[in-house]
Amino acid sequence: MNEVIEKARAIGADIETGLKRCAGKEDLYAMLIGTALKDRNFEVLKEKVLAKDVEGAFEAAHALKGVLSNLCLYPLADELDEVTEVLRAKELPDEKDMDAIERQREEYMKIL
Amino acid sequence: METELELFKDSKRTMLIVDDEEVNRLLLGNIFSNDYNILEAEDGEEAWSLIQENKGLLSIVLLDLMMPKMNGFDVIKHMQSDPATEQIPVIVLTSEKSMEVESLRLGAADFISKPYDMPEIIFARVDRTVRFFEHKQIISSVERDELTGLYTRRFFLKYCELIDRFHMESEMDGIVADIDQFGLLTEIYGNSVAEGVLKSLSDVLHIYAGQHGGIAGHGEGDVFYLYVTRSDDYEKLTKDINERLRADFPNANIHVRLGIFKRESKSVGLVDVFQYAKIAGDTIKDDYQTSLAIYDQQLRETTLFKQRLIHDINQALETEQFVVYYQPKYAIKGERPVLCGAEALVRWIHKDFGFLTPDKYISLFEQNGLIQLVDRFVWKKAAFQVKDWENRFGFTIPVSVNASRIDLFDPQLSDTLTELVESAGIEKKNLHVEITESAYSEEQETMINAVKKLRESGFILEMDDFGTGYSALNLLGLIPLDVLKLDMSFVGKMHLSPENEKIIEIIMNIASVLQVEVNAEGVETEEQLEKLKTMGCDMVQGFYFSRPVSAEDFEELIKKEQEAGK
Repeated sequence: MNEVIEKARAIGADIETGLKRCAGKEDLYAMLIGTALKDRNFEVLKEKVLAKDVEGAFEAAHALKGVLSNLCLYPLADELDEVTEVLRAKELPDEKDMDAIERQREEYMKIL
Repeated sequence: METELELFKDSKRTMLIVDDEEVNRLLLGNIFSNDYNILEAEDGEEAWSLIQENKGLLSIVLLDLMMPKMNGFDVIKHMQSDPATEQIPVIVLTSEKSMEVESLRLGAADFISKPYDMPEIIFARVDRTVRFFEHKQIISSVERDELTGLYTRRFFLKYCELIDRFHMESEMDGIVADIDQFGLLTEIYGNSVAEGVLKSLSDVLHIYAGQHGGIAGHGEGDVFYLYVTRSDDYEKLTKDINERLRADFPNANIHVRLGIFKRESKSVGLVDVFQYAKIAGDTIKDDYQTSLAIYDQQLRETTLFKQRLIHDINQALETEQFVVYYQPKYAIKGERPVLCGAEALVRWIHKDFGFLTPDKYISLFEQNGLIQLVDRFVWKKAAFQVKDWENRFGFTIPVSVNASRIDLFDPQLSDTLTELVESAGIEKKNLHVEITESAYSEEQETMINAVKKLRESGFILEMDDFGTGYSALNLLGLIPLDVLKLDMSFVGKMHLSPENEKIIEIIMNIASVLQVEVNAEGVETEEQLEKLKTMGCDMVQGFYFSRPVSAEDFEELIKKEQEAGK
């Protein structure tokens, strides 16, 4: 098994489902994990929340949620799901949630 | 088929995946990369420009909804604005349940929910959509005429039905547009110009239909249809047509005729609507001064009358409403005129209309081929009449019968006539066949061969109405003939000028060179008879001797002849 994927499993990723979505291709899955974690929308989300741009933040969070759930990168994906719903309700996520995202993303980044 | 080739470049279909997230594009791309060429776009604007560039090539678009620059819904709207992109199926990619139905409502063919579970199912779902749309396109390619993009006749009529169903209250008119002498136009200017004319005309009709709550269709060749809301003034339409054709084809004089049927009641079926419109249009065929004809009461009566005659013909033949009359022919070479034959002429005593003059039905039946039935009826009557007179008077009167153009196209003609004379028990030389000059104007070779065959088989051939058509002299050398029947108009005008007389003399001379007898028709006076005699005319028929009479009355002429001959 690919090392990145093994480590992702240790963090909480549902790699069985994730791999299935990549038609069983480990290399592809590993590569997509890398692409997802470097997604520009993490930065966009932070900026928009700081600027109190709820709509812009929602779009970024929504996009990230889609990507991360596609790859089953939990619990990061769940965290984004939560933030997306908060933003959808036209509210700004609190710092705690934003920190959680940042922390979990960093944890995933280490495996790359 | 061009479109088919375009669709399967490198034997793979082409798919466009539109998503601002690279991961999503790659995930989907991975599912389809074995079977599709994949194009990617990361926002709506890029998607729309790729769709326009590849519209002939794209089998499907997988479209994310939430994207920067232009969102997915706007991409769909853009696609729907162009017929060429409108037919490319779109599958929406969404993680929002509420968007699933919304996207279908906006025209998406299907949706795929994020996250992308079960790649096999996604593949199957997309593939099914692609095939469904391809199938639909094949159907719709028959719906539209390839050259003009208008509806084919069948679909045109179907859509007319829909208009009727959903716009019950609208007053609609049916219009048929025809181009005069379209065949000639094609011959003179070539196919591509002719097709250009069809396209230009279809453009004008398409625009007019769009502006007048209707639709346009293209039938066979140069026939076009319009079904539009009622207008009291179609001059504008004819003006538009003429201006466009003059602009596009300044050197060709193209005449488009419009036949219009104002549909007062929906009880007139759609097929009839366009048939009546066509009938109206045909009344101004080759009349370059007139471009518009409306199906009116008078035309309606004429049409109904014609339909009635067509309907009645079989019964009329069975119940002997058709009667054969005989006009005697006299040989005038000798001391006294001698009864030498007769021409069989058909008369229709209609059970309701009474005596119908031949001009009411002969050309009508010639157009639709029913004349063959009438001809055969006359041939049979005439052949048995010859036998009857032989039996009862010991006197043979050769009778000439008419063969129409369509008879000459019948490869069985010679056999049919041979069987007939055999069953009647008369000699072939006593049944003369009259053909008209105009029968040769088209397909000369077929005609000439048919005539040759008849003559070789032993029938006597007479050319009727000589001098009224064209190419007559030219044909004389090609067709084997026995008798030339000089049209009655020559005899009628003979006394008017020395030139007219001269023409008859010339025809007589030609006939004698070709060793063909001349029969002058329409002889009404003794003066005419004497003149023709001095010119060397062989025989005459006309009111001077007798009008066409019934077989019974003709027997008096036979008796008289027998008396005179004693």
